[in-house]
Amino acid sequence: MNDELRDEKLSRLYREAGGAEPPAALDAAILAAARAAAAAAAPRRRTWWQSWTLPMGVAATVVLTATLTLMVQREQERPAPEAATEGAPLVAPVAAPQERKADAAGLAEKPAAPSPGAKREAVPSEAERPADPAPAPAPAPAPAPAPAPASVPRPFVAEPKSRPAAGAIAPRAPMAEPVESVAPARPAAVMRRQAAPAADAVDAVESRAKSAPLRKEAVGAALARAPGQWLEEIRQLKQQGKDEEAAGALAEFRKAYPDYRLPEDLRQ
Amino acid sequence: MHEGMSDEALMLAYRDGDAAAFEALYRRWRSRLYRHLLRQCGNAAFADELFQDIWLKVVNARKGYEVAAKFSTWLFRIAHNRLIDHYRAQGRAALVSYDDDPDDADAVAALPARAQEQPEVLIERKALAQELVKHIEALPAAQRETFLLSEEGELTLEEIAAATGTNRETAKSRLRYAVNKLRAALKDLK
Repeated sequence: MNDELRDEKLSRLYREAGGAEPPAALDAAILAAARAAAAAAAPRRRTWWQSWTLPMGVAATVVLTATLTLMVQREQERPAPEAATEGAPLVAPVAAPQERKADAAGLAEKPAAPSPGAKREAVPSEAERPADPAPAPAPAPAPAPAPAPASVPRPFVAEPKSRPAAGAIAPRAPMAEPVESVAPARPAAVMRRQAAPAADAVDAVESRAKSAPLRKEAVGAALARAPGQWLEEIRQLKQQGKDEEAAGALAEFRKAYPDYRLPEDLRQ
Repeated sequence: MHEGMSDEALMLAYRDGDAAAFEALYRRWRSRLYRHLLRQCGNAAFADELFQDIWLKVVNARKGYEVAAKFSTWLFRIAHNRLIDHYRAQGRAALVSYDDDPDDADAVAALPARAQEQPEVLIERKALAQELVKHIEALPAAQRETFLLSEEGELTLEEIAAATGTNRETAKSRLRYAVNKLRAALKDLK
C-alpha cells in the first residue's frame, strides 16, 4: 500500500469515526435489482421432456416417412391384378354387341375351325362360332392395318361407324373400334417380346389370360392354336388354294409372332 | 461458498448469472463505498443516491466485465466519474479543486483553521475522530478523494491514479498533501 505516506495514527482514528452505513432499504433495492438482472440473463433451464422434443420429433418424422413409403410401394405393386379385373367388365360388354352384330348379319363365312386368314376379321368371324366365342384377344394385333383380302365378303363395309382415316380397316370399322379399345395393351405386349421366342408369346397370352379372367375362353382358343398349329392351318389354306386367305393369315401370324422363324414352304 | 473467492472471481460469477456472488461482493464493499461517498459529498441523501447509482452501474456493466484491473479500482473509478457528474449537477466548484496544483501554497492555506474553533472539551477519541472526518470533508476534492481511496478503497497509488484518471505522481502528491493537512489538524486538535 502507500506505506511511505501512510500515517497509522491517522488511519486508526479515521476508522474509529466509521459508523456510516447505507440504509437497509438501499441494500434491499440494490440486491433486488442485481437478482432481477441475473435472472433475466440466466438461460432458462429446459425440462427433460423439452430436451427430448427435437429427437422425438425427428424420430416420428422418420417413422412416418418410412411407413408412407412402404404403403405407396405396396399400392404400386398391387394394381396389376386389380386393373385387370377392373378392365374385364369392359371387355364383355364390348364383345357382346360384336357377337350380336355378327349374328344379325348372318355371317357364316367361317364355319370351320378358326383359320389364320379369318384372324384379321377375328371379331365378326369368330363371334359367329358358339363353341369359340372369343378367339380374338389372343394373338391379334388389333390396330394393324393389314391388307384385307378383297374376296372376303364383308357385310359391314358400308357401315360408316368407324374412323374416317382408317381406309384399309374400313371393313372392320364397326368391330375394330371396340376391339381396339378393349385391348390396347396387346400390341405393346407383343412389341416388348419382339426379341423373345415364340414360346414367350404363348406365355404372354397365358399371363394375359391370368390378368383377364373373363377372357379365359378366348385365350384358351389362342393357346389351342399354338404357332405350329397356326402355321399348319395356313399351310392347309394354301393347299386348298386359298392363297389370299393364307396370305392374310400369314400376315396376321407375323404380327403376332414377329420373331418366329417361318418354315421354308411358307416363306414368300 | 463465496467466502474464499476474490472480488474479481465474484464479479465474473455474477456476470455468468450467479446472483449470490454479487451479494457477497456487495457485502464486502458496501460500507467502504458508502463512507467514501458520504465523505465526498457531505450529505447522506446525496450519498444514498450516488451509492445506488454506482451499484446499478456495476449491475448493468456485468455483461462486459473483464478482469482488467482490481474490482475495487473499477468500482471506485465508477464512483469517481459519478462524483464528477454530481459536482457538475450541483454546480459546485469542486471540479476546480481537481485541477489544483498540489504544490500550490494556496491549497494548503485553504485548510480551515479548525484548531481555534474546536472546544477544548473534545477530548474523547470519538469526538476527535468526528473532527477528523470534518477535516477530511474540508480537504480539496482531489486530495480528499485520494485520501479516501487510500483509506476506504485500500488502493495503491497506481490504483488511485487509474481510478481517478491521473498518473501515479499526481496521486502521490495529492495524498501527501492530504495527510499532512490532517496531521496538522490533529495537532491543533490535541
